[in-house]
Amino acid sequence: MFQTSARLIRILLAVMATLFVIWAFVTVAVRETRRFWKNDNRTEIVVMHWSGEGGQEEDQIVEDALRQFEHENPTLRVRRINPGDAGSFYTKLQTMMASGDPPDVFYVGSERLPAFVSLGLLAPLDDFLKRDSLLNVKDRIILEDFYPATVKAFQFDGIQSGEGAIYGIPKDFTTVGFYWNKDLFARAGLAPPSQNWTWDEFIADARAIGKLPDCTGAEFVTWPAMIRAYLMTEGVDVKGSSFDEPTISNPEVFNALDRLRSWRHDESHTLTSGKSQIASGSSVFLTGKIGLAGPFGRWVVPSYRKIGPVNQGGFDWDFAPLPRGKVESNIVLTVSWSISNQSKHPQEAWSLVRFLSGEPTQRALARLGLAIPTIRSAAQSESFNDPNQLPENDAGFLTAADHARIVDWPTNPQFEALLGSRLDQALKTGDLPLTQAISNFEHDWRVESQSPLRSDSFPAMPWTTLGWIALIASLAGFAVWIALLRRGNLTAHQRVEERAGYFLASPWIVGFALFMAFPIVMSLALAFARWKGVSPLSSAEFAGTANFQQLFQFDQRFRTSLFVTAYYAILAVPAGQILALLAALLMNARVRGIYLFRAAWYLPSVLAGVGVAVLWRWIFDSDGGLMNAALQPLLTLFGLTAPEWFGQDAAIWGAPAFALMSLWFVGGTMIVFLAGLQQIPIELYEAASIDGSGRLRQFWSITLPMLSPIILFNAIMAIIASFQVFTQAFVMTGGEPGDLTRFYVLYLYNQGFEFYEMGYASAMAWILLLVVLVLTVIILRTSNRWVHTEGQKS
Amino acid sequence: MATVELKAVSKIYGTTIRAVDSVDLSIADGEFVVLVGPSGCGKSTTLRMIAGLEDLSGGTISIGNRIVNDVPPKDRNIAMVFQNYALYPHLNVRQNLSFGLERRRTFKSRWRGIWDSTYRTQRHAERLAITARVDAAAHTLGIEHLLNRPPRELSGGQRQRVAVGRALVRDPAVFLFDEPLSNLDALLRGEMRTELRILHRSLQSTMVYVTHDQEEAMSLADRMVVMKDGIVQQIGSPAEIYERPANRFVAGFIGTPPMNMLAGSVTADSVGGLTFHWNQCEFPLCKRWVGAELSAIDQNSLTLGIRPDRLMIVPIDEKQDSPSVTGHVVTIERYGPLADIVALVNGKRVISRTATDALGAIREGDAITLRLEIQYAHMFRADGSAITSPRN
Repeated sequence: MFQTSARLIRILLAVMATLFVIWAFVTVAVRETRRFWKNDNRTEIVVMHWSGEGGQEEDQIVEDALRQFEHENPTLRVRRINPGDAGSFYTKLQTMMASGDPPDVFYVGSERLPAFVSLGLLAPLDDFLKRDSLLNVKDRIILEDFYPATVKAFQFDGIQSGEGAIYGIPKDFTTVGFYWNKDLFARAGLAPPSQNWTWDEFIADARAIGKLPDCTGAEFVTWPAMIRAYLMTEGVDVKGSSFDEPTISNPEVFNALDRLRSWRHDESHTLTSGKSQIASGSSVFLTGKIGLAGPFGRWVVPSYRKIGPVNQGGFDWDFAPLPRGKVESNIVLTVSWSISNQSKHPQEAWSLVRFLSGEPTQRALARLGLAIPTIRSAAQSESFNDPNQLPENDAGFLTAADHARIVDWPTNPQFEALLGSRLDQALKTGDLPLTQAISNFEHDWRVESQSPLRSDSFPAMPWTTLGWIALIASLAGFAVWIALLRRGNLTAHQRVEERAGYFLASPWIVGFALFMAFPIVMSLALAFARWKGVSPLSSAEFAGTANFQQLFQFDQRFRTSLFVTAYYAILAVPAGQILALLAALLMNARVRGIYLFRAAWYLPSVLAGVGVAVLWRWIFDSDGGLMNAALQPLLTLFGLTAPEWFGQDAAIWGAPAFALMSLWFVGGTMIVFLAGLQQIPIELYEAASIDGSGRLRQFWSITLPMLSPIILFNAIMAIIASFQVFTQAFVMTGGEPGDLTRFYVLYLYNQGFEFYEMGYASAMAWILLLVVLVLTVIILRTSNRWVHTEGQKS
Repeated sequence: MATVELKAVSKIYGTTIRAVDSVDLSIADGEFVVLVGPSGCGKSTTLRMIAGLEDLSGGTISIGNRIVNDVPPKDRNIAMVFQNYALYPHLNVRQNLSFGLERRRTFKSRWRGIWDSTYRTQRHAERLAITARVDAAAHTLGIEHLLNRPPRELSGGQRQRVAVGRALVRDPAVFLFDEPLSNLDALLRGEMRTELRILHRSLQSTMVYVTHDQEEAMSLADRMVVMKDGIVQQIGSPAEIYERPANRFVAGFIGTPPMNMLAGSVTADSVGGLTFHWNQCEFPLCKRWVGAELSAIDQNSLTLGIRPDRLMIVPIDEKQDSPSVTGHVVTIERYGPLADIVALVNGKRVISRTATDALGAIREGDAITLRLEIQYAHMFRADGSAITSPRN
């Protein structure tokens, strides 16, 4: 009876597994064959976009527009990809480009345009425009109808933005300014900001609101683009005629920056200091305790519209464009529809871009409140200026657009990253004097442009030779393996068993070779290559040891990331081990309901990833986060204040905050310790207690030595894990402020997926491997001094 | 050196399981007492309560006239040898031996000696003393050559010696042994048994020893405590317990092979002679039972116990003056000079132990006559208690 049911279950499992495999492959096959049967020979165009703040509604609007387009163009079929937010979008785009199969039409943010164009990813659109104009196509794009700055944002001549060919049709844009809390303005007895208010008025308002109880004047984010927007209102910029000649130390620029620094750090309650990142910039405004927040674009409007009216605990608010300094100025941040240079159907793709950038689609998107149509007539229509929705001052965005400029960036994305991280040290955390921060930036940028990776031109990567070497090496390895197998004199029966064993293991072996061994070997090769991860591998260049030279001789941020990671590891590894061991000792008690306690300790380890990171971002929030709310009463006793973990105290408290957070996952380690504790024979404790040991002595003399192999295991695992911190940092701080929480793997990710330096990132990955390897070997080598192993030494 | 006194000691698990039930035992200074009984009889629990590893549910334990109910094990001045040796696997033999002494050092501080030279001298002297005591104990047990080895490199017998040495070196008031020999093979067990006996003689210290092996108990003990189901059945010297078991359980538990138990009845004849009826056999009882109070109830459900070596093999045709039974041989188990014969008498099994020489040509299946040396018989009531004859 038992035998038959066991067999039945086995057969059932086999059938289920087979069905699953068939289902997995067949769904793909069916999609293709269905098209074939339907006789669908329409040309397929692939569109990719994101819908971050726009959410479900933006997704739906694009979908509807595409169906409408298909309806109007029966010979075309559009496949839409929406990976979610902008970050996922760019990662996906990069993967598709590297595999040589990019989408035909996709979003490009203006800040990425120079990098994309110089990598040859985008098709110039001037010819399409010209031809449409000659043929006088019905719904042709007339660039003169657009806000000029938005068009300029997608022009690039190889050196400078705003000149040359156009690589994208702007679909929407925003200017920036400050959102202001009407209620606080009224309480402080202030007049509303006028349409052309000045920085003097701005700071006077902020100071007045800062004097209100429990209020802060303004949140002023120090993102590089916003710093440049601020400087432009004083008629200056960080670059001279080109980015190779930064003007950041010019007296006018310095004075403007120093004024901002002084507002932040020399006055209290005028500007929030160091608090912006952790509260994710725009969200502090929601607390209702901030008079002004900015400079932000239109994108915050959907979330601010949820503030609600006064009688429901909300407050009234509005928008004011960027204050003026010596000149009236503003910036545009814009996103285009662009066409891939590798598109197989550029003509069809263009007709789609024309459709998507047209006025009807722009109007539909404008109703979301999220962005401003780039076509002037659409922007001035009711679709955007909805009188029933806040902010009242929709016009403020549009008047600013007339004297707005583009924020261009050089093709090397390091400029923006360095500017941001260096200025943060002076403006945000206040760790360094402004002069020092500026000279650090100038130094780093100079070094960056002198780096062997920038100046040299390298030969093409000898993929064919490498391929042969790899092939020969793997064949030789295979031969050696076979020889080793043959050496053992096996009986016929053993041979059969061996063959069966390999057969059963073959799915893993094939999977390992394809998905592990091959990428590992590739990354080793790429560590010696210069390869932008957005072009096919054939474009990789052989850079020799240039990646490593750059890392060790030029890259200050690499050293910082190593330091941050080591700082974290030194705190997190011992703290995690000690807490896990203490918890395991507690959980080893024989108490009623101990299983509940054990489950409770382990539970946090079940939750992982982004959700937990977001949770901890709130906990460490320096304005009303749980951590500081708990710490402050205690610290007040000693006359101390709780640190701004990821704000101005990040140099000291940033990595420790992550170490604290890592204790959340202590449950897994605890379980291993618990299993170890239960292996220790109880007689040892009895013998020790009779021999005269108290509880503490027993812990030192019995528990610790008996547990030492497990401590060794856990410590090595913890060290490896501590060098792999990524998700938390990526979600919680993005490495900021400055580079103070830029962990090694996060920097590696930045290099690979934001600066498109795949070769460089591969080199970093191998250095990481070496570091971890060396640490592990050191620990293993010293382990015979403190680890007691039960088994006989072989 | 100390006496150990147990008064009404009980251990109750949960609400109903009486592992140890009201045990009274007083152990004299220097006495070797063995607690023996089948597994689950409460002997180990009793020992662990003396050690302080288990709490008492009732009663008191005193060591050296001090009640130790609430004294932690480390302050009872006892040493214990465990069944699994419980050697510290991460320490070598010397460290294992000195572990207890290290814990009891007076001059513990590692740092004070740096500035306090008197302390340094005293500390040094203490360390030398410990080394000397460890060396002496190792010498006594013949394990000097093992001092630097970790336990995992020792054989079972060597581990056992180290475990004993660890107790020995401490010079405790009471030694406790919890089945210390049961993990050894038969040969080593015999050897160690002898050594323990010699050790006790030379140390003259109080030892409490737990075993389930009655032979081991008999050979080691000054006094034995036979236990069953948490209750003490009998306390006495090995000879007393062997010769005058207090009840059927003790009689059956002590002695190898176990005593033959013949359940039957007694009739008295007109002249006052007693006859025991068992299994269609009749044998007259000794005169000494005449005076014993065999009440009317007892008479019909008595058990006659006779040890296998009192059931002698005799030639089948020889006329017997003492009672005998006739049956046939089921098996013969030979142990060198001795042999056990299992025989069926009218369908009931009896065991006889005899000299191998006396076997003659007897084979399995042969008919056999067994003579009862009736003067060595024991009588038990229906409730198991022994009937003492007046002359006993």
